[in-house]
Amino acid sequence: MDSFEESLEKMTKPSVDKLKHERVLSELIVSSRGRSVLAGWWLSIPLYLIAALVMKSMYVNNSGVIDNLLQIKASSGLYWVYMLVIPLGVMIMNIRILMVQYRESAAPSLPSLLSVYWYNALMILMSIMLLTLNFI
Amino acid sequence: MNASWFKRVGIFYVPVSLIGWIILAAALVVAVYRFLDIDSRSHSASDTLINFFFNLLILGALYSLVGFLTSRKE
Repeated sequence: MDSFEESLEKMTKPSVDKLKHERVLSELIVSSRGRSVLAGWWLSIPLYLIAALVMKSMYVNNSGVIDNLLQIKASSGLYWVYMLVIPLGVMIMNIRILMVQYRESAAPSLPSLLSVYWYNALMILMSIMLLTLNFI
Repeated sequence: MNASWFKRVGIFYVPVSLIGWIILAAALVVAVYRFLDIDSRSHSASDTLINFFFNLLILGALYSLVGFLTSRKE
């Protein structure tokens, strides 16, 4: 009986080194990084277009960014792909990433979420900026 | 897709299989072809580079899409 009591005293609580939720979260983060990289590559196309138009307006006399943009809108059929489809797709993808991470991370505060996913928030902002250029 | 032709390293997708290397080589060939094509029609070095870089971004975006869809999930 003494040995049983001794063994009871030696017993410790069962411990789990890695939580299942931790693995799910790490998989989600890795997956969201891949999506962020993809979104970044695609968003660089319309951003470069705008940067090129800004450069053109700086070096060509009597030429503005909006005028150049309207010129491309009238002449190029791919304008709507660059300035509407890509920013819209990138925005939806990044909003989805943030929503999933927010839900899976047990609703953290906005600053702590943005401290990790600032890149996604930045891409959403740039997408909104590109989309608003269509209404000018 | 279960294939793993690429592995993501930072913002780039590095090939990890023969098909991945073939895709990367094809992308490089297209890039060189586009550069020569644009260079033959442009009026200055900056004209070539500005137009080529835009084409390079489109090619990079398409390559990263293939890389994303076929990359190893670790």
